[in-house]
Amino acid sequence: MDTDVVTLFFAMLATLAQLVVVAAVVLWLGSKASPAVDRAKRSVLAVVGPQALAMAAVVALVCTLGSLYLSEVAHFPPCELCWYQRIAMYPLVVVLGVAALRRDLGARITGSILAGIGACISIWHLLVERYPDLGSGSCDPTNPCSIKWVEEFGYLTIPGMALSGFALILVLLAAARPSSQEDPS
Amino acid sequence: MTSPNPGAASSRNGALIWIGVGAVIVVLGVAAIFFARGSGSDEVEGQTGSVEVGGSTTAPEGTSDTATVADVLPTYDATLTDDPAVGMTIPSVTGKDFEGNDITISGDDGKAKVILFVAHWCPHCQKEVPLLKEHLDDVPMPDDVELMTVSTSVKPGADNYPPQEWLEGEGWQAPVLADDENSSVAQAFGLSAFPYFVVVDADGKVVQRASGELTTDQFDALVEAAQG
Repeated sequence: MDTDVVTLFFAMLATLAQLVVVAAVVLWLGSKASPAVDRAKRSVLAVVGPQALAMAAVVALVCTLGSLYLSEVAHFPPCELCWYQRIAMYPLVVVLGVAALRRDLGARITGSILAGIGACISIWHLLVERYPDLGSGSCDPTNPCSIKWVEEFGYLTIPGMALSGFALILVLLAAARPSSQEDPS
Repeated sequence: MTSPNPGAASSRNGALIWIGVGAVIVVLGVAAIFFARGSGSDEVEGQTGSVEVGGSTTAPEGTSDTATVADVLPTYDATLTDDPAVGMTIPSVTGKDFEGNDITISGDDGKAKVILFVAHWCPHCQKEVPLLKEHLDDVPMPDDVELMTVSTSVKPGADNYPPQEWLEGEGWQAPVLADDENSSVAQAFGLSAFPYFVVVDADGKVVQRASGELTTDQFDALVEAAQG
Protein backbone atom coordinates (compact mmCIF):
# COMPACT_ATOMS: atom_id res chain seq x y z
CA MET A 1 0.00 0.00 0.00
CA ASP A 2 1.11 3.54 -0.70
CA THR A 3 3.27 5.02 2.05
CA ASP A 4 1.43 8.35 1.88
CA VAL A 5 -1.88 6.63 2.55
CA VAL A 6 -0.52 4.66 5.47
CA THR A 7 1.25 7.59 7.11
CA LEU A 8 -1.88 9.71 6.72
CA PHE A 9 -3.87 6.90 8.32
CA PHE A 10 -1.42 6.77 11.24
CA ALA A 11 -1.64 10.56 11.56
CA MET A 12 -5.44 10.36 11.69
CA LEU A 13 -5.27 7.69 14.36
CA ALA A 14 -2.80 9.82 16.32
CA THR A 15 -5.08 12.83 16.02
CA LEU A 16 -8.00 10.74 17.26
CA ALA A 17 -5.83 9.62 20.18
CA GLN A 18 -5.02 13.25 20.98
CA LEU A 19 -8.72 14.16 20.95
CA VAL A 20 -9.50 11.30 23.32
CA VAL A 21 -6.67 12.33 25.64
CA VAL A 22 -7.79 15.97 25.65
CA ALA A 23 -11.42 14.92 26.28
CA ALA A 24 -10.28 12.70 29.15
CA VAL A 25 -8.25 15.50 30.73
CA VAL A 26 -11.15 17.95 30.35
CA LEU A 27 -13.53 15.43 31.86
CA TRP A 28 -11.18 14.78 34.77
CA LEU A 29 -10.58 18.47 35.48
CA GLY A 30 -14.26 19.30 34.99
CA SER A 31 -15.28 16.59 37.43
CA LYS A 32 -13.41 18.45 40.17
CA ALA A 33 -15.48 21.56 39.60
CA SER A 34 -18.87 20.37 38.47
CA PRO A 35 -21.04 17.56 39.91
CA ALA A 36 -22.72 17.16 36.51
CA VAL A 37 -19.37 16.61 34.80
CA ASP A 38 -18.39 14.26 37.61
CA ARG A 39 -21.53 12.18 36.92
CA ALA A 40 -20.66 12.16 33.22
CA LYS A 41 -17.12 11.02 34.03
CA ARG A 42 -18.45 8.18 36.18
CA SER A 43 -20.79 7.11 33.39
CA VAL A 44 -17.94 7.06 30.88
CA LEU A 45 -15.70 5.14 33.28
CA ALA A 46 -18.46 2.60 33.92
CA VAL A 47 -18.70 1.89 30.19
CA VAL A 48 -15.06 2.24 29.11
CA GLY A 49 -13.30 1.11 32.30
CA PRO A 50 -13.84 -2.67 31.90
CA GLN A 51 -12.54 -2.53 28.31
CA ALA A 52 -9.73 -0.04 28.91
CA LEU A 53 -6.95 -2.55 29.56
CA ALA A 54 -7.67 -4.42 26.34
CA MET A 55 -7.98 -1.13 24.45
CA ALA A 56 -4.58 -0.02 25.77
CA ALA A 57 -3.12 -3.33 24.55
CA VAL A 58 -4.64 -2.72 21.11
CA VAL A 59 -3.20 0.82 21.02
CA ALA A 60 0.26 -0.58 21.86
CA LEU A 61 -0.16 -3.22 19.14
CA VAL A 62 -1.17 -0.63 16.53
CA CYS A 63 1.77 1.60 17.51
CA THR A 64 4.15 -1.36 17.30
CA LEU A 65 2.88 -2.45 13.89
CA GLY A 66 3.00 1.18 12.76
CA SER A 67 6.62 1.61 13.76
CA LEU A 68 7.54 -1.66 12.06
CA TYR A 69 5.76 -0.54 8.91
CA LEU A 70 7.66 2.77 8.88
CA SER A 71 11.05 1.08 9.24
CA GLU A 72 10.58 -2.19 7.34
CA VAL A 73 8.17 -1.20 4.57
CA ALA A 74 8.51 2.57 4.18
CA HIS A 75 12.28 2.26 4.87
CA PHE A 76 12.48 5.20 7.27
CA PRO A 77 15.43 4.06 9.40
CA PRO A 78 14.78 4.50 13.12
CA CYS A 79 17.16 6.90 14.84
CA GLU A 80 18.58 6.43 18.33
CA LEU A 81 15.64 8.13 20.08
CA CYS A 82 13.19 6.14 17.95
CA TRP A 83 14.78 2.98 19.27
CA TYR A 84 14.39 4.10 22.87
CA GLN A 85 10.68 4.74 22.22
CA ARG A 86 10.40 1.29 20.65
CA ILE A 87 11.99 -0.22 23.75
CA ALA A 88 9.18 1.34 25.78
CA MET A 89 6.35 0.56 23.35
CA TYR A 90 6.99 -3.00 22.19
CA PRO A 91 6.86 -4.69 25.62
CA LEU A 92 3.53 -2.95 26.28
CA VAL A 93 1.91 -5.23 23.71
CA VAL A 94 2.83 -8.28 25.79
CA VAL A 95 2.42 -6.72 29.24
CA LEU A 96 -1.01 -5.21 28.51
CA GLY A 97 -2.14 -8.03 26.23
CA VAL A 98 -1.52 -10.68 28.89
CA ALA A 99 -3.00 -8.41 31.57
CA ALA A 100 -6.16 -7.91 29.49
CA LEU A 101 -6.58 -11.66 28.97
CA ARG A 102 -6.01 -12.38 32.67
CA ARG A 103 -8.00 -9.30 33.73
CA ASP A 104 -5.00 -8.34 35.84
CA LEU A 105 -5.34 -4.68 36.73
CA GLY A 106 -2.07 -4.86 38.64
CA ALA A 107 -0.26 -4.58 35.29
CA ARG A 108 -1.41 -0.97 35.09
CA ILE A 109 1.62 0.08 37.15
CA THR A 110 4.14 -1.64 34.87
CA GLY A 111 2.31 -0.36 31.81
CA SER A 112 2.14 3.18 33.13
CA ILE A 113 5.85 3.23 33.93
CA LEU A 114 6.78 2.01 30.44
CA ALA A 115 4.33 4.37 28.74
CA GLY A 116 5.49 7.27 30.92
CA ILE A 117 9.14 6.67 30.02
CA GLY A 118 8.21 6.38 26.36
CA ALA A 119 6.21 9.61 26.48
CA CYS A 120 9.16 11.47 28.03
CA ILE A 121 11.48 10.23 25.26
CA SER A 122 8.91 11.23 22.63
CA ILE A 123 8.74 14.73 24.08
CA TRP A 124 12.55 15.01 24.02
CA HIS A 125 12.57 13.73 20.42
CA LEU A 126 9.98 16.35 19.45
CA LEU A 127 12.12 19.04 21.05
CA VAL A 128 15.20 17.83 19.13
CA GLU A 129 13.16 17.96 15.93
CA ARG A 130 11.91 21.48 16.62
CA TYR A 131 15.12 22.80 18.15
CA PRO A 132 17.99 20.80 16.56
CA ASP A 133 20.56 22.78 18.51
CA LEU A 134 19.48 20.80 21.58
CA GLY A 135 21.09 17.73 20.01
CA SER A 136 24.20 19.22 18.42
CA GLY A 137 25.28 22.02 16.13
CA SER A 138 25.42 19.78 13.07
CA CYS A 139 23.53 16.92 11.45
CA ASP A 140 24.74 13.34 11.56
CA PRO A 141 24.74 12.33 7.89
CA THR A 142 23.79 8.73 8.63
CA ASN A 143 20.70 8.85 10.80
CA PRO A 144 20.03 12.03 12.75
CA CYS A 145 17.21 12.29 15.28
CA SER A 146 16.31 15.71 13.91
CA ILE A 147 15.24 14.40 10.50
CA LYS A 148 11.49 14.54 9.88
CA TRP A 149 10.47 11.56 7.78
CA VAL A 150 6.81 12.37 8.12
CA GLU A 151 5.00 15.61 8.85
CA GLU A 152 1.22 15.46 8.55
CA PHE A 153 -1.22 18.30 9.18
CA GLY A 154 1.75 20.64 9.51
CA TYR A 155 2.77 19.41 12.95
CA LEU A 156 2.48 15.66 13.36
CA THR A 157 5.80 13.83 13.03
CA ILE A 158 6.68 10.25 13.98
CA PRO A 159 7.61 11.04 17.61
CA GLY A 160 4.40 13.09 17.81
CA MET A 161 2.45 10.01 16.78
CA ALA A 162 4.35 7.92 19.33
CA LEU A 163 3.60 10.48 22.05
CA SER A 164 -0.09 10.33 21.12
CA GLY A 165 0.02 6.54 21.51
CA PHE A 166 1.80 6.65 24.87
CA ALA A 167 -0.59 9.34 26.15
CA LEU A 168 -3.66 7.36 25.10
CA ILE A 169 -2.27 4.24 26.77
CA LEU A 170 -1.72 6.23 29.99
CA VAL A 171 -5.29 7.58 29.87
CA LEU A 172 -6.73 4.12 29.23
CA LEU A 173 -4.68 2.62 32.06
CA ALA A 174 -5.94 5.35 34.37
CA ALA A 175 -9.50 4.58 33.28
CA ALA A 176 -9.20 0.80 33.60
CA ARG A 177 -11.73 -0.66 36.05
CA PRO A 178 -12.91 -4.16 36.83
CA SER A 179 -16.21 -5.08 35.17
CA SER A 180 -19.37 -5.07 37.28
CA GLN A 181 -19.29 -8.89 37.54
CA GLU A 182 -15.74 -8.83 38.92
CA ASP A 183 -16.26 -5.92 41.29
CA PRO A 184 -18.63 -6.87 44.13
CA SER A 185 -18.62 -3.28 45.37
CA MET B 1 -41.23 -8.78 34.22
CA THR B 2 -37.54 -9.49 34.76
CA SER B 3 -35.03 -7.04 36.31
CA PRO B 4 -32.14 -5.78 34.13
CA ASN B 5 -29.02 -7.96 34.24
CA PRO B 6 -25.91 -5.77 34.94
CA GLY B 7 -23.55 -8.41 33.54
CA ALA B 8 -25.41 -8.61 30.25
CA ALA B 9 -25.55 -4.81 30.01
CA SER B 10 -21.81 -4.60 30.62
CA SER B 11 -21.10 -7.18 27.92
CA ARG B 12 -23.40 -5.36 25.51
CA ASN B 13 -21.64 -2.04 26.25
CA GLY B 14 -18.26 -3.70 25.76
CA ALA B 15 -19.27 -5.11 22.41
CA LEU B 16 -20.65 -1.74 21.31
CA ILE B 17 -17.37 -0.03 22.26
CA TRP B 18 -15.31 -2.45 20.19
CA ILE B 19 -17.69 -2.16 17.24
CA GLY B 20 -17.44 1.63 17.53
CA VAL B 21 -13.64 1.56 17.67
CA GLY B 22 -13.52 -0.74 14.66
CA ALA B 23 -15.92 1.46 12.71
CA VAL B 24 -13.88 4.59 13.45
CA ILE B 25 -10.68 2.86 12.30
CA VAL B 26 -12.34 1.74 9.07
CA VAL B 27 -13.66 5.25 8.42
CA LEU B 28 -10.20 6.76 9.05
CA GLY B 29 -8.63 4.17 6.74
CA VAL B 30 -11.05 5.02 3.94
CA ALA B 31 -10.51 8.74 4.55
CA ALA B 32 -6.71 8.25 4.38
CA ILE B 33 -7.03 6.50 1.01
CA PHE B 34 -9.31 9.25 -0.24
CA PHE B 35 -7.27 12.20 0.95
CA ALA B 36 -3.69 10.92 0.57
CA ARG B 37 -1.81 12.62 -2.14
CA GLY B 38 -0.39 10.50 -4.95
CA SER B 39 3.18 9.47 -4.48
CA GLY B 40 4.11 10.05 -8.11
CA SER B 41 7.08 8.24 -9.55
CA ASP B 42 9.68 6.37 -7.56
CA GLU B 43 12.46 8.36 -9.22
CA VAL B 44 14.54 10.31 -6.74
CA GLU B 45 14.73 13.98 -7.60
CA GLY B 46 17.72 16.22 -7.04
CA GLN B 47 20.31 13.51 -7.51
CA THR B 48 22.89 12.81 -10.20
CA GLY B 49 22.74 9.31 -11.64
CA SER B 50 26.45 8.90 -11.10
CA VAL B 51 29.33 11.19 -10.44
CA GLU B 52 32.94 10.78 -11.45
CA VAL B 53 35.34 10.98 -8.59
CA GLY B 54 39.05 10.87 -9.11
CA GLY B 55 42.35 12.37 -8.18
CA SER B 56 43.45 15.57 -9.78
CA THR B 57 44.52 14.76 -13.33
CA THR B 58 47.26 17.36 -13.46
CA ALA B 59 49.46 18.73 -10.78
CA PRO B 60 48.41 22.20 -9.68
CA GLU B 61 50.25 24.99 -11.46
CA GLY B 62 53.44 25.94 -9.72
CA THR B 63 53.80 22.59 -8.03
CA SER B 64 55.41 19.43 -9.15
CA ASP B 65 54.67 17.33 -6.15
CA THR B 66 51.91 15.00 -7.22
CA ALA B 67 52.24 12.83 -4.13
CA THR B 68 49.71 14.99 -2.37
CA VAL B 69 47.09 14.48 -5.02
CA ALA B 70 44.39 12.48 -3.31
CA ASP B 71 41.56 10.30 -4.50
CA VAL B 72 39.62 11.10 -1.38
CA LEU B 73 40.11 13.27 1.65
CA PRO B 74 40.17 11.67 5.10
CA THR B 75 36.93 11.87 7.05
CA TYR B 76 36.71 15.19 8.85
CA ASP B 77 37.11 15.03 12.61
CA ALA B 78 36.24 18.33 14.22
CA THR B 79 37.96 17.33 17.47
CA LEU B 80 41.41 17.20 15.85
CA THR B 81 43.43 20.39 16.06
CA ASP B 82 45.52 19.39 13.03
CA ASP B 83 43.31 18.36 10.14
CA PRO B 84 45.27 15.75 8.12
CA ALA B 85 43.49 16.89 4.94
CA VAL B 86 45.10 20.33 5.04
CA GLY B 87 47.60 20.55 2.21
CA MET B 88 46.05 17.69 0.26
CA THR B 89 44.71 18.31 -3.21
CA ILE B 90 40.98 17.93 -3.45
CA PRO B 91 39.52 15.16 -5.57
CA SER B 92 38.20 16.12 -8.96
CA VAL B 93 34.50 15.37 -9.18
CA THR B 94 32.13 15.72 -12.10
CA GLY B 95 28.39 15.44 -11.85
CA LYS B 96 25.25 17.30 -12.85
CA ASP B 97 23.51 20.36 -11.54
CA PHE B 98 19.73 20.35 -11.01
CA GLU B 99 19.15 21.29 -14.65
CA GLY B 100 21.22 18.33 -15.84
CA ASN B 101 24.23 20.37 -16.94
CA ASP B 102 27.71 19.02 -16.28
CA ILE B 103 29.45 20.58 -13.34
CA THR B 104 32.96 19.90 -12.10
CA ILE B 105 34.65 20.67 -8.84
CA SER B 106 38.37 20.37 -9.20
CA GLY B 107 41.60 21.75 -7.90
CA ASP B 108 42.87 22.17 -11.44
CA ASP B 109 41.05 25.35 -12.37
CA GLY B 110 43.39 27.68 -10.49
CA LYS B 111 40.59 29.22 -8.49
CA ALA B 112 40.24 29.31 -4.75
CA LYS B 113 36.89 28.06 -3.52
CA VAL B 114 34.68 27.38 -0.58
CA ILE B 115 32.66 24.21 -1.08
CA LEU B 116 29.49 23.93 0.98
CA PHE B 117 27.84 20.54 1.43
CA VAL B 118 24.17 20.60 2.40
CA ALA B 119 21.36 18.12 2.94
CA HIS B 120 17.79 19.24 2.35
CA TRP B 121 16.48 17.48 5.46
CA CYS B 122 19.13 18.82 7.85
CA PRO B 123 17.70 21.53 10.14
CA HIS B 124 21.14 23.10 10.53
CA CYS B 125 21.49 23.41 6.74
CA GLN B 126 17.99 24.85 6.63
CA LYS B 127 19.20 27.60 8.97
CA GLU B 128 22.63 28.07 7.41
CA VAL B 129 21.54 28.47 3.78
CA PRO B 130 19.24 31.49 4.31
CA LEU B 131 21.78 33.02 6.71
CA LEU B 132 24.52 32.82 4.09
CA LYS B 133 22.15 33.90 1.31
CA GLU B 134 21.29 37.09 3.19
CA HIS B 135 24.94 37.67 4.04
CA LEU B 136 26.07 37.14 0.44
CA ASP B 137 23.45 39.60 -0.75
CA ASP B 138 25.19 42.21 1.39
CA VAL B 139 28.76 40.99 1.06
CA PRO B 140 29.22 39.10 -2.22
CA MET B 141 32.00 36.58 -2.64
CA PRO B 142 35.30 38.19 -3.75
CA ASP B 143 36.20 37.68 -7.41
CA ASP B 144 39.09 35.38 -6.60
CA VAL B 145 37.05 32.93 -4.50
CA GLU B 146 34.24 30.80 -5.81
CA LEU B 147 31.42 29.44 -3.66
CA MET B 148 30.26 26.01 -4.77
CA THR B 149 27.56 23.85 -3.29
CA VAL B 150 27.06 20.11 -3.18
CA SER B 151 23.56 18.87 -2.47
CA THR B 152 23.94 15.39 -1.07
CA SER B 153 22.30 12.68 1.02
CA VAL B 154 18.94 13.10 -0.70
CA LYS B 155 16.17 11.36 1.22
CA PRO B 156 12.84 11.19 -0.63
CA GLY B 157 9.98 11.72 1.77
CA ALA B 158 12.06 13.64 4.28
CA ASP B 159 11.72 17.32 5.05
CA ASN B 160 12.26 19.81 2.17
CA TYR B 161 12.43 17.16 -0.54
CA PRO B 162 13.33 17.66 -3.37
CA PRO B 163 16.47 19.71 -2.66
CA GLN B 164 16.26 21.86 -5.80
CA GLU B 165 12.90 23.27 -4.69
CA TRP B 166 14.31 24.04 -1.29
CA LEU B 167 17.44 25.80 -2.61
CA GLU B 168 15.47 27.65 -5.28
CA GLY B 169 12.97 28.71 -2.64
CA GLU B 170 15.81 30.12 -0.56
CA GLY B 171 17.09 32.03 -3.60
CA TRP B 172 20.44 30.21 -3.44
CA GLN B 173 22.61 31.50 -6.30
CA ALA B 174 25.83 29.49 -6.04
CA PRO B 175 26.29 26.59 -8.49
CA VAL B 176 25.06 23.31 -7.06
CA LEU B 177 26.41 19.84 -7.85
CA ALA B 178 23.79 17.16 -7.17
CA ASP B 179 25.51 14.20 -5.53
CA ASP B 180 24.61 10.62 -6.43
CA GLU B 181 22.62 8.17 -4.30
CA ASN B 182 25.78 6.86 -2.66
CA SER B 183 26.84 10.39 -1.68
CA SER B 184 30.09 9.75 -3.54
CA VAL B 185 31.15 13.39 -3.61
CA ALA B 186 30.46 13.83 0.11
CA GLN B 187 32.48 10.72 0.87
CA ALA B 188 35.32 11.80 -1.40
CA PHE B 189 35.57 15.06 0.51
CA GLY B 190 35.45 13.32 3.92
CA LEU B 191 32.10 14.64 5.08
CA SER B 192 31.16 13.67 8.62
CA ALA B 193 28.38 16.14 9.46
CA PHE B 194 26.14 18.75 7.85
CA PRO B 195 26.55 21.53 6.91
CA TYR B 196 30.14 20.92 5.82
CA PHE B 197 32.67 23.38 4.44
CA VAL B 198 35.86 22.63 2.54
CA VAL B 199 38.12 25.60 1.90
CA VAL B 200 40.44 25.23 -1.08
CA ASP B 201 43.20 27.57 -2.20
CA ALA B 202 44.02 28.52 -5.79
CA ASP B 203 46.41 25.56 -6.02
CA GLY B 204 43.59 23.13 -5.31
CA LYS B 205 44.84 22.28 -1.83
CA VAL B 206 42.69 22.05 1.25
CA VAL B 207 43.28 25.03 3.54
CA GLN B 208 40.64 24.32 6.15
CA ARG B 209 37.53 22.28 6.79
CA ALA B 210 34.58 22.96 9.10
CA SER B 211 31.20 21.48 9.90
CA GLY B 212 28.06 22.61 11.67
CA GLU B 213 26.31 25.96 11.58
CA LEU B 214 28.71 28.86 11.13
CA THR B 215 28.17 32.52 11.83
CA THR B 216 28.67 34.99 9.00
CA ASP B 217 31.94 36.08 10.62
CA GLN B 218 33.16 32.49 10.64
CA PHE B 219 32.14 32.13 7.01
CA ASP B 220 34.03 35.30 6.10
CA ALA B 221 37.08 33.84 7.84
CA LEU B 222 36.82 30.77 5.60
CA VAL B 223 36.67 32.99 2.52
CA GLU B 224 39.77 34.88 3.71
CA ALA B 225 41.53 31.58 4.34
CA ALA B 226 40.78 30.52 0.76
CA GLN B 227 42.38 33.75 -0.51
CA GLY B 228 45.55 32.82 1.36
